[in-house]
Amino acid sequence: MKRTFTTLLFTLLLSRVFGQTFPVDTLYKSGPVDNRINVVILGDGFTKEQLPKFNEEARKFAEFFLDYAPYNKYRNYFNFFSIPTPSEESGVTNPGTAPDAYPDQPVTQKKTFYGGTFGSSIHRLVTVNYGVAFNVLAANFPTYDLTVMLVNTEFYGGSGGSIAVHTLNQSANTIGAHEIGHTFAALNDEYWAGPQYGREAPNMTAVTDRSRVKWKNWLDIPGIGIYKHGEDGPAATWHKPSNATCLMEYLNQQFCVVCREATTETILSLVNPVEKIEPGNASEYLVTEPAKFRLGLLKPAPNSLHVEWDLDGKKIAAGVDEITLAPSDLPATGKLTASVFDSTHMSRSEELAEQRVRKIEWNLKSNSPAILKINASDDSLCVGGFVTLTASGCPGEVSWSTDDTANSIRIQPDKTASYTASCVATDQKASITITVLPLPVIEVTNNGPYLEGSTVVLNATGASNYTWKGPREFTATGAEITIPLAIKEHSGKYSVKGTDVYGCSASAETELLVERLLAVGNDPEEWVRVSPNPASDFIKVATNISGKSTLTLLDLSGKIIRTKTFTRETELKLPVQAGVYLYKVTNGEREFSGKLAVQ
Amino acid sequence: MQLKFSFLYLLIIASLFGGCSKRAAVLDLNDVRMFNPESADQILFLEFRVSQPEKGSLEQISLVSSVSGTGKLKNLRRPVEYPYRIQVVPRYRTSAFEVPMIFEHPLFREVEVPDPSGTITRKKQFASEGSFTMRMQADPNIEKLDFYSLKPGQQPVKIYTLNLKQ
Repeated sequence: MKRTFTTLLFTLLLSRVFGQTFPVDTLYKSGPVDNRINVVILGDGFTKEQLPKFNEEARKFAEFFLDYAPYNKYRNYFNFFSIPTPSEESGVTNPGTAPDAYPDQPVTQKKTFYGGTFGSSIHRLVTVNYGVAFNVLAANFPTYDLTVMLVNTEFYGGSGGSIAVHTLNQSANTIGAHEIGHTFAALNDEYWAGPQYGREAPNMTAVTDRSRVKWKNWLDIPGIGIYKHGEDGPAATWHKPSNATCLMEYLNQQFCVVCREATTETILSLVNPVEKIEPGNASEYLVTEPAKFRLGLLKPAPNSLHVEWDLDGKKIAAGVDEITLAPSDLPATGKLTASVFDSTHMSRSEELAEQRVRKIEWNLKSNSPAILKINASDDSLCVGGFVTLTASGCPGEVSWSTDDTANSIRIQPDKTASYTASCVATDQKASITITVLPLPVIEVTNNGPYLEGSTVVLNATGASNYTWKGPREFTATGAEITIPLAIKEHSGKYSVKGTDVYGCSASAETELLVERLLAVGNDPEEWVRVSPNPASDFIKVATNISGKSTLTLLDLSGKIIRTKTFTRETELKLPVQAGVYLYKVTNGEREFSGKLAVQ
Repeated sequence: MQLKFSFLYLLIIASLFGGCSKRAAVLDLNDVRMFNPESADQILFLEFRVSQPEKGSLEQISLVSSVSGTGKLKNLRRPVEYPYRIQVVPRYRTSAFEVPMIFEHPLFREVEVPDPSGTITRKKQFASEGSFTMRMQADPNIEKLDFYSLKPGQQPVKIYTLNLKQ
């Protein structure tokens, strides 16, 4: 009897909204529905008078979502819509029967459009009638990609599933973001949900080999590793990339870089960044006069799209959305290809990078007479570089001044020179000069060795732009680099790549040494004593270790002021201004450092 | 009284979706609300009711609503990890690759429970009645949909067939 009655109510509720249409409000539209990710926001417990409030809340969620990484890089890849459906009563049902029910929340039964209710056994589990929601979506926005349901109450709650449900509580937005992580990028939970959830996923694996684990390219990022889900049982066989620092584990965290990568790749698989091409490429294009070929691109922010233009497989331009070709630029027929690649830093996947290349091709025909021309992939290059010379306009064999015979040759000139192509069939000749630029000479210094705590200064000269790399994933740009509060682990080789105004690059290296600063102690057994400290015009240094010892006095930047070699005992004059200095005494493998106050 | 309600329920079901039975049913796409046979790209929303009269018995399934919309779906489907699932296999009139669609089993679910502290837990939710909606791209070559119940440690059991007519 009870079941039959429930079934009847369910059926009646569904039939009430069956195929019912509602206005669909646009919250944020960046482009056509078929080339965007469309998020539809529904609302429950908003009366007719409260529908403006619903739209405002929906807009707030859209802004929250679009500001969330990595979605924030691809804001214009998303559309947001809301479907306002008026509820008879405002709010949400609260059965008040769960042990964790909020004491200050009134127990109430509300007649709402989607029947939203707090849980009867777990209070914060807020659910709605999915059947009603799907009927509204079917009749009003069948092509939705993601759906979020906002429930009109400030009390915290929500639930997962193909529709992310959450309340208007300020902390509840991340429930939606977490659930969309499951739906959108097939992310797994990074909290241990039980052995039934162990599966290979972008952020879960049984692989522990650092060279094979699917997030191997991110292991250099602080916090990313291969963490067991648990210490024993099935949990110990499954691994995650982060430990308590990802939204897929805790709702108060951001996505970890691995989850961002999976999310970014999903965005890029669903939305084509090439929105428009001019002219169309459905049929062969006859070039009778200089013609523009243009791409309408959907650019992320910052723009990570890289465009390369090839004519018959030879690169003719890069980094531009349009090029102009004249009939004389072309052979009688040719194929123009534009390759668009998203070089986003949000993904380091080599496999998926290939799928991110979109190619557009035009079959071209030129009405120009066959004039022998040479196209160079670059008309100037740096020493050591290669350039490809391609002859066009010759109906037969082409011979070159390099003694090669081919339409296209690849050369590595060591100085500026001219190259000539000869068309055997028409007896035409054409020449081109390739300019070879010298490489910059980079010099690099570091003024070390340094003591821990001092500021390291690295200097490079000889170019106009510099890129540095060093230990501990160190990277920097600029001619002079400082590393404040240096520690011993900063020691190592630092390489700098310098690029001059012509784009020619060369590299140099410097070895940086940062030495440990040992603590000063009062132990009489210590092997070295420095006194007086504070000092005024001299210090006396005594050691109980035999053999030669070296005393070095440095300023706080690590610059050496004085060095003296001694046996057992020495005095050092202090021709320095008042302040704090560093001293270092070494004897074989032993080293002792400390601070010295000069009055 | 009980008889009256049962009769009323059956009457509504029969009037809305004639032709459905427990193990097999026929859906004429022309009867699907808002279905446009002229449009090449149609999306079907099929709402099913699932029940299990006795513990351990075979699930009973019936189509309770069908709506169509125009457009093309992107290949975006939430993965279902919990081992209790409903698997729907499209069977084609012509040779085609049958890609099963997996849905959360409405009677055996585990739901994520959020907490204001940021932690998330999972909670089992078993029921004797429930429903699920499948959304799929309409394809005139699909002859029928076979529904299987997947449970841990058990072979898939076919519980329902929906024959499609157009």
